[in-house]
Amino acid sequence: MSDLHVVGHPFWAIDGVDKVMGRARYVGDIHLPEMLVAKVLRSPVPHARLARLEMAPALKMPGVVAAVCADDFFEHGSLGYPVKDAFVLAHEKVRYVGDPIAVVAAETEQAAQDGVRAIVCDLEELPGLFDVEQASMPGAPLIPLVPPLGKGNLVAEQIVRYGEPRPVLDGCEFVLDERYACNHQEHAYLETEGALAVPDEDGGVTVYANDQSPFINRDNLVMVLGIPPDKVRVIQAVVGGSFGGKDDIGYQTSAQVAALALKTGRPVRLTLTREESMLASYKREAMRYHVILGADSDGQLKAAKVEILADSGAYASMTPLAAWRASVHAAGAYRYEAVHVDTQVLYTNNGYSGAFRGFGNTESVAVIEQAVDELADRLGEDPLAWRLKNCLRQGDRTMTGALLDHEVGLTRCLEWVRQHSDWDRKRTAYARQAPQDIRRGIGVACYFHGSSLGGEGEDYATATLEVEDDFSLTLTSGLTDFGQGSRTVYTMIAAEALGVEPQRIHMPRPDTQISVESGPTVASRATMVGGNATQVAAKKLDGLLRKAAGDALGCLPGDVARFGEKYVSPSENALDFEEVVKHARQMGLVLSVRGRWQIPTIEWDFEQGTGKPYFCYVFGAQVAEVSLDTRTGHTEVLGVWAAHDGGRIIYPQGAAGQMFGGIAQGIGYALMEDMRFDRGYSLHTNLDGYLVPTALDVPPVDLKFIEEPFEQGPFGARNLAEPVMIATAPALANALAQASSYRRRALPLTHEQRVLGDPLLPPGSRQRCLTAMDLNA
Amino acid sequence: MKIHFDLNGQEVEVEASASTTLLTLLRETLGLTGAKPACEVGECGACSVIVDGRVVDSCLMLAAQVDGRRVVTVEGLVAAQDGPNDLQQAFLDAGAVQCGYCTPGFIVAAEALLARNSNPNRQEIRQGIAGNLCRCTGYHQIVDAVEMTAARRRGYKSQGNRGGHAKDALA
Amino acid sequence: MDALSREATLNELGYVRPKTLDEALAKLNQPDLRVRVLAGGTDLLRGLKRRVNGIDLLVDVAEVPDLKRIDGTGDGRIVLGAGVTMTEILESPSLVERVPLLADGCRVVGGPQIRNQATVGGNVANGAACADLTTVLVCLEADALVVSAAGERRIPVADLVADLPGGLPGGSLIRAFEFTPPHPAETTAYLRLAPREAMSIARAALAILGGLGDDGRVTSLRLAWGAVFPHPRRVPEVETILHGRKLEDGVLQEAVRVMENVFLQESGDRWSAPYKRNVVTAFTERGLRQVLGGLA
Repeated sequence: MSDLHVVGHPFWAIDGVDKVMGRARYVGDIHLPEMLVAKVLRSPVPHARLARLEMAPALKMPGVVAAVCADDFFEHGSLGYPVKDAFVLAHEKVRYVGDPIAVVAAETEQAAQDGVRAIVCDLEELPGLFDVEQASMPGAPLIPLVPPLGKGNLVAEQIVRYGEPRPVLDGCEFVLDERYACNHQEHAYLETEGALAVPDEDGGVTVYANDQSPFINRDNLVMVLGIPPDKVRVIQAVVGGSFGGKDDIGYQTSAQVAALALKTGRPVRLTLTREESMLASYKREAMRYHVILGADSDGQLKAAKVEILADSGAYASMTPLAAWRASVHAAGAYRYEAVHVDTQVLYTNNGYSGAFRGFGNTESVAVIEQAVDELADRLGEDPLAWRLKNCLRQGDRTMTGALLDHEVGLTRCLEWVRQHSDWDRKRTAYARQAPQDIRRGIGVACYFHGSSLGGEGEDYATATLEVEDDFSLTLTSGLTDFGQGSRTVYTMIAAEALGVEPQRIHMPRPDTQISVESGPTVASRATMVGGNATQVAAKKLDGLLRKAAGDALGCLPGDVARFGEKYVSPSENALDFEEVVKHARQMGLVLSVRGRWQIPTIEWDFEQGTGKPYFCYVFGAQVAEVSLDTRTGHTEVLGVWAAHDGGRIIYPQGAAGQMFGGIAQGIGYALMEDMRFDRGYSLHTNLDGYLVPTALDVPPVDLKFIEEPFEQGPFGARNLAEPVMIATAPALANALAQASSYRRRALPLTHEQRVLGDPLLPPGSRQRCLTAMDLNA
Repeated sequence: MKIHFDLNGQEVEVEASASTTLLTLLRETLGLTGAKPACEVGECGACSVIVDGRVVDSCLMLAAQVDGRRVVTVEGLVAAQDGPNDLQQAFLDAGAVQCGYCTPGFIVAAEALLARNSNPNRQEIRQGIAGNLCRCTGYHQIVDAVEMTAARRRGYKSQGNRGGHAKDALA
Repeated sequence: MDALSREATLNELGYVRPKTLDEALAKLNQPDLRVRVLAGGTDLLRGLKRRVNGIDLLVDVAEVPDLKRIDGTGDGRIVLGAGVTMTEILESPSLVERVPLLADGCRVVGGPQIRNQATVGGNVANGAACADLTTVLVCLEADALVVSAAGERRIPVADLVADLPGGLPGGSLIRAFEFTPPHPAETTAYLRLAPREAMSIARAALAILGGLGDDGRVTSLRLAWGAVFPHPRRVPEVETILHGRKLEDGVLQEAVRVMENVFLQESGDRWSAPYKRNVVTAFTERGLRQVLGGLA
């Protein structure tokens, strides 16, 4: 029985009331006097030299007030992390269909569109590169202006070196050697990218953006606008979903409107249409894997050798880091004697790739969980039982050789999904099905997922907490909430640690002027790192209040008991929160604190491919059951059972929501989200072609949070928002493999893939893209 | 052209060009930003409003088409004391709100469903919201919220789990 | 870049909402204007912002009573107004009961928002190869009653869509559809494949009607396909194989083979043919079994 009053109990999204009433203000809902609307000129071709750009004709159009291009930014608006290969607006070249070239601000959207049309832009097409496997071949078109590693289209390389797999594999009784492919995935957040810039009288600018990280945005603006940090303020608007997708393109969009706002002296707003968003924004990287696994005669995994090719598209974005996460998870949540992983990230002209929920582990789990399933099959073993035999437990070493020194709930997850899905009976029964048209299958997948940034960088967060004059509390964090509930979680943590009613706590949205930089809101770090920072702040404030209470009650601070919000002495004299605050102020205490928490230093040697990649891990397993029409490919997902070990759950409805939502994205990734490029042109330009699951496409879901306590997380919590999506696609692929007796080794498993093993290529992509950009061939 | 219609129980008259969509009219002329643009091709339901009792995609309607009609938007679905109504509260209780961008559309579609069917089973609820896309929640808790509300409005406790599966997950 | 041109968007558009059919026809009959009928708008208004300067005047027919009728003729046929929405069809007990095939076709279109606006006439007139209601109406051997200033013509829906370049002849609109409902002893089915369970156009659809005599021999059989040919159409080549015969294995397989050949002849060079041929054979087999006695 929990002795916590808030954490772990039903709660609701702290910004939910405005949202359900339709009063929440997203970027596109904000309307300011004198506001101009911006429109973007984008490249209609995948690869070209920007030979001529004349903006003057645009400025002559009625209603057009200003226009900007690369030359209007410091150092041509160069930006990008970890590789600085991108620009606010294209400089010298365009590298993918949708690459932004210029932006026009006008009185109306129509006028802005007319202005865009008037721009004279001559593009000299260059040969395009569309197959990542050709990117490093001699004679391949060179995409970057400056090769990041001095090696043509190579963006980054990542390696893992744990032992020596070759000799081990040579001695293995069973060796699997197969290739797998995962396609791109579109975030498809319901709200498209957008930003609104408001110029200040003193030459500064405030930007409201639906970006992922306001501080990174602010730093980029400082850099590309060439103005000092105290003149740039970024406020995060209410964000309509992100899933990792509103990084780079969010900062580009912000810079575009900021420059126009400074030029015109008027607010400027830019919101992307869905077509623009689908063409211009980055995608989950497409990856190709070559997996070699070796097991002994007892079915014990011994060694793995994995090679990964990641399609970064036109720009690096976060792909080098996603490729690192993919690499250090590539062999899965199992024990090995030796593992080597070699990953190459390459440029192509296929859109561009960056962060998306799971950040490389979605792809790695999708692949390795199919591979081990095939291996188990060849061993003649039940795939779930085989996983229980080989999966990680506390005290084991992971595939990078790092010691797992904390609680590991993976076997509990596997056992839970096994029991609740009725796995044993179904797996056996479906293996014995008669060869009829409609066949069933049941499949499993499991994962481990490193928490937070790991080897990617310094990992800390800061929270501030202050008691206001009206006895409310203001809590800030540099980490952001785009719907996944981080602000709610922090509010709950603060309320619990302070012993106050959550309603007393007010948490404004991140604002570079009042919050404190905390790194990006990515990598499943929000609850642990941000939550710990919140808890540190709350404990500091609690310490001050206890001092005051003890002083007022005539006892030691440590002897003050809490009953609800009351502070009670051993002699049972009680004070309200307000009384304690007043007394604290009389004592001269300042009730404003800052809490910082940093992940203990971990060392990963990128050159050697060795070290400890993460501070801790989370784990999980999912089972999916399908009914497949083997002739048409039509698939009904009958059920999903999901268990996740992410430590204590703070916000129960939020955690469940992440799980349901992640599973839905996994279903889409596995079965219907077909983000492909045909010679650089996206197959789909809107949500009528790019299909995400509807309410009728998701099955009943049984879910379970295995709450293995983790001492170093806030109230024992780790995290869950990302990883809960990553087992769904391979579980479905494995279920379909049982139902169809075919293994396609590619995602998504569209109808054509399921039936033919060939995705087929619909014609007309170029025309659709051009139409979407108001152009005609 | 002049467009005259009943908006959330009040008569309004506005001037708009014939090519203006109902969505644009609501958001930009009338300042009601609850209905959202998300695809603008009638695929996602984020722009849903109710016209003459039927839920429709306002991005696929011309403003001119509602002349003489009754339009209800999410802003019209408030409780008497200007707070969330019972359905909106159920969304909050069930954890059905994450980023919230799709939420007004779902609220409208669910109200339209419940107006026609006061006792929908979960499959019927899913059919009633099948024209609304959500990328965050996976729909489960949205269905819970609608089911809870239907039961409350019918005046007795629901047979299912109140508070949705979030509780089960921690059992 | 010279080869690419940017088309202007919709400029000043006219809109009118006539109250009678005659008024509507008068508005449509303006040869020097580009006039289009606005019914539900779910096809016409998609991507309105990007619609090129092809329309001067929209004639909104939502309030023309003649287009909303659901009637019987004296001699047992049904008249279905072109302006009747999919939802209205689904909420008409008489239609649902007497023509379940029609309800089957409506039920799978889009989602509630789309069905509340989309009309049967709009679905047909839009001329899409995958139009669900067209496929159903072709199976029902429906006629389209097309009116213009010159009067009314009766055109079989199957012929109308074959001639449609993407819009009816200028100045005309479909007033209603007329068809004989299936005989109570006849069975109908609508098989449809889509990439997800809602908000999807069909990738292949078969509207099928079949009837058996007391001797178990086929007395009626109609197969109408959507999304596998350039426009929804019947396949007499297959239907004739089965007339007067019993549905035995040999006959069934012959029908399936002929159906596949017809498909490959006409659509075999399409990019999707290698996949769709599987659906065509599966649906043929299952559809025949379903309407000619005994599910597969």
